[in-house]
Amino acid sequence: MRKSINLTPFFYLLPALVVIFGLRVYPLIYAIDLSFRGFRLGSPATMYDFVGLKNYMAAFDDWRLMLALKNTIFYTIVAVAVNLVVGLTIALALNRDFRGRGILTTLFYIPVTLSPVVAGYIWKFMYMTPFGIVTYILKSIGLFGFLGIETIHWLSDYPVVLFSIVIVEIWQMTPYVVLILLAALQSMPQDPFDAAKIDGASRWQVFRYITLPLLRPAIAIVLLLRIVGVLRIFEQIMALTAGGPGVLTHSLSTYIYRIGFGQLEVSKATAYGFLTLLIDLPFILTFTRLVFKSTR
Amino acid sequence: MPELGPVTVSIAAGRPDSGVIAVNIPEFEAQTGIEVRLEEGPWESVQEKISMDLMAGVGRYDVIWLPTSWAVNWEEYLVDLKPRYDKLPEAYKEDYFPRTIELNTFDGKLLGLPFKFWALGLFYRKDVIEGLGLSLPKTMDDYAEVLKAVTMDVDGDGKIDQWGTAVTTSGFLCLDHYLQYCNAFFDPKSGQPHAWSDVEGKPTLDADWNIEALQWLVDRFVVDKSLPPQSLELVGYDNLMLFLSRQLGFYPGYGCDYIQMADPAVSQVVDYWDVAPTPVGPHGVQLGHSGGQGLGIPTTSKHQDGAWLLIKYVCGVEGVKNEMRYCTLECPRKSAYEIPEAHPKVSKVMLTAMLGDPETGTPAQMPSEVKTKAFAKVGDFLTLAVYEAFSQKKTAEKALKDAQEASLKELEKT
Repeated sequence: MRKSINLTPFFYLLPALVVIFGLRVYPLIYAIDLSFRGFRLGSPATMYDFVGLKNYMAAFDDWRLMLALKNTIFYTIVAVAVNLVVGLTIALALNRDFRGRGILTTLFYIPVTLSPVVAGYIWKFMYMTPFGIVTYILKSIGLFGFLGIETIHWLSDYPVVLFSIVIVEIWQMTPYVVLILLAALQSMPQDPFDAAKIDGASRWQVFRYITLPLLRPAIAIVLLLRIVGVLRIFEQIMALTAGGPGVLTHSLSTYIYRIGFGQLEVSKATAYGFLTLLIDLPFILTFTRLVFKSTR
Repeated sequence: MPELGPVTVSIAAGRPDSGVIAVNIPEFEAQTGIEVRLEEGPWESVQEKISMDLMAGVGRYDVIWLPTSWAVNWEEYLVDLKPRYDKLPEAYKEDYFPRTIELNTFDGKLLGLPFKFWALGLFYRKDVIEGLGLSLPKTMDDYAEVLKAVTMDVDGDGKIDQWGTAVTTSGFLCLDHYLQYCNAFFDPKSGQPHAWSDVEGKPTLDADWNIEALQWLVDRFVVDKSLPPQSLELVGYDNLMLFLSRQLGFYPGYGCDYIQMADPAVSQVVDYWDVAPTPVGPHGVQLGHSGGQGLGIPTTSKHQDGAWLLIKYVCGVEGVKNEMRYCTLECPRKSAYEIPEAHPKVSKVMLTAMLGDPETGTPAQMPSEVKTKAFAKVGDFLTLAVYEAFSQKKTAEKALKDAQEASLKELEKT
């Protein structure tokens, strides 16, 4: 007997497919094509110049891109490590019963609700030499005198400025890590903890052998989300230093933006963007796998 | 009859520029029946939106705000307004300062109808200058002296809290500010068209006058300490904020900066500022540069006739008078200065810098902004050179020679 194909489900899928193709697939194909051309925004005729791999090869000869890559790796490693350690510590503290816990948790979350640009500007004023509160406090407690220095220019002394940027990212996003880990801690089954108590396990043993293994999926998610997040760090840098002093604090995102919209090298910026994607991709794929695994 | 609207205008920045268009919209809509949509935002964001729109050929914008220094980068996407301009009544055309038309003309194409112009004036704290019995600086040497004289501890706590002036050293404004100083040292007899490039358009970052300008600034920062210690942290209009909060004696600024100075909500110098011509360098060129803004029509606009009507109205006599009433900018029209709301001193300083002094017949001593596509490419090397010289990692000469070499390599690659 011949089976007839029911086209109705495809018909229902059509609007979604059109949207996905229009907003995702077509722009992606267009961008891939663009990355092999020599298109410069001020010269429309260059849209048709096929330059092969030239834009991709230029990346390896561009010391500013390499510096931006190094900076991005630095921002990512420091921010994610501190996010996780501090976030976990605070989450564990907030997981205990004490008065005012709800208010404290809410207060902790405030930085996440700010726009990164706003956070950047708040910190810029706090860092500003010589009137910023950061310098004022450190001077007041005698730290500069102890170190034998007059002051620190938080936004222009290189490499101090790299830490100044990463501190803003840590300040803003640690509460986000706290929230995810706290939710995971609060949804843990009570039985293993009761059993450990009966068996006389120490606090450290409970943390090491029960809490931490049970937290592992949440930690993995947090790690991946934060890595992908920090790899794209943009707004804070633009607000704090605009990539300066000179070009020394650019991340990949801010530098690529500069190439595309400052120097108008659209094709080159697109090629650099695809190269950056290669760095993001392993993390994105792992994250997707983890999410699908937990959904199943 | 072709469809005239709605007309979508994209304009960088909030007050005062977008406000100027906004005040003219209701009357224009009432007169023509054309609906106007105004999109505004900071320069970087507007530039990004316009660039994307032009590149993709979407045609979202019918009128775009066009700084004359940037217009060259969009030249090929813009309608030549000259044929339409030529058909305008003589009275309309004659009311323009011819210089403002020149500024908006590129390769013989009129890319924008003049909307405003700018030139640099030396804003200063008159209470400080008069209090110290100082004279206003006429030369760069005088300027160095007065900057040093006003740098002091005002509140008596043993720490300096007032400096001579400030320059932005990061981001795109770094280039703008450094270029102003380079112009002051430029030697017009050199045969070069301006401080930045040779007659072929190649950058000349390491020209003697540029080295001299950077060295002059570094000396103020390192030797005299008359620039604030956070100079290397300044991004955007931070230096204007320092002037408004009474931390600077001098601020070389544009006419539109007057709006903030006169606004008690943001300014602590409302009653304490005044303006003078900027000092002149060793070769008779004035510190700063003049430029302007036009309103242009992208070739992708679907309502070019409606867009032209709007531009003609906003840049017309009544539109520009409204502009003056709203914010006393440097207006491109002669008749705009007749209205009582015009700020006579700011206007005179700016007009003289740009057009010369008609009373004495002195020609303009302030050069125009650079119109070159290569400029966008060399920006990073310059900001780096400024940083290297200010932080004393390299001498001004070495930093600029390296920047020049790197720029040429980069341009060769392109």
